Amino acid sequence: MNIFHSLRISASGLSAERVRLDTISANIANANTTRTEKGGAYRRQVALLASVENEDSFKSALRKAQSNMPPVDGVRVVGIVEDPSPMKMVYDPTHPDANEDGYVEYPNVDIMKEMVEAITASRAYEANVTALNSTKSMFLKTLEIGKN
Amino acid sequence: MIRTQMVDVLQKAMDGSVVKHTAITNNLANVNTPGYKKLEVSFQDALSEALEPQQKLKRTKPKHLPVAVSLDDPNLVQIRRDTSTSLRNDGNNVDVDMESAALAENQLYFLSLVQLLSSELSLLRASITEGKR
Amino acid sequence: MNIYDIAMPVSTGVPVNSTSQNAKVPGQFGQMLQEALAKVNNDILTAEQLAQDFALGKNVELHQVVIAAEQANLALQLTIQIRNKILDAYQEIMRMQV
Repeated sequence: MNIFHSLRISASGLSAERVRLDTISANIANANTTRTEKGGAYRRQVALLASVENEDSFKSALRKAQSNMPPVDGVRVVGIVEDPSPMKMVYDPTHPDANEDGYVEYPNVDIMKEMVEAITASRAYEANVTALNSTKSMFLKTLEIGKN
Repeated sequence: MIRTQMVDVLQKAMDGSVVKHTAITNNLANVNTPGYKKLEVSFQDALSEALEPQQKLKRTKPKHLPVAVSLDDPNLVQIRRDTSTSLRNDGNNVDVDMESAALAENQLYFLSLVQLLSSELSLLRASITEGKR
Repeated sequence: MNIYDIAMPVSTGVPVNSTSQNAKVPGQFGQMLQEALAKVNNDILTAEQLAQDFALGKNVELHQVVIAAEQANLALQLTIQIRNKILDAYQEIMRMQV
């Protein structure tokens, strides 16, 4: 069962990195969005990841008793929250969204930073794909033990 | 009945390799999780210890036995958290390149064990059937 | 049971403890076969239990299942060969003209 277990772990990694990449894409696409439905400019969004460790399920207790393996189950996205860092203020009194001081509020999105994050997420995604393929190959090879 | 030491050792090594694989995949899944500390697995030292005990303990009397590890010991495979600090500011100490390399190495190790086990079993099979089918 | 202990007697038809207990030769074969059958039975039951646990998703590794199945298979083949050798030896003896 441990081999299947590691398939699920890799799958959770793929899923989490995909959510991260989606969030980053949304940030890049909205880097210059000065008005939203809620009012105000677009706020940068961050996907929060947390590692999964199920202490309380029976299965994990059984697994731990038999093989000392801690009850790790990959990663999950806990939520998507807004980045509270300050927005960029640009002086442009002619802009339709300018406030009374003539400043326009722009999203707190740094394109360079988002690109780096995108590369990180993408590399992590690839590493998880490699892990998944590796698990499959180990499993299939094991099945060949008995064959002549 | 068909339990040679070779089959035993290979099987225990495969057990260890599978646990290591699970730990590495968990590290890779959590490569971007803030605060995550990577898991490390070791079993080869314990395995050699089980096969050839080093007489590390001093014996006060010659008839006392040193503490020995047997092949059937469930704690042969050791898993621990590497709590060292990292160079990243999110507190995560997983290096995706090191872990990917470890994954490849462990995979090749496992596949070699499978191969060696198959050879050992076909050796036994040949000696039983005396070459006839 | 170490296979190398049994492989020699199987191929030559001589029981394991022939040097010291020549007078008990017929009982020796029977007893050896009985013990072998008991061990094979054990191996097969273990392999089946592991396979069942795996099918039910319990905490067994695939390689444990495969290795146990192969060991049970080889044990059975070994026992069959032992039986064949014993039969051959018996028939050989029966063919001897008194």
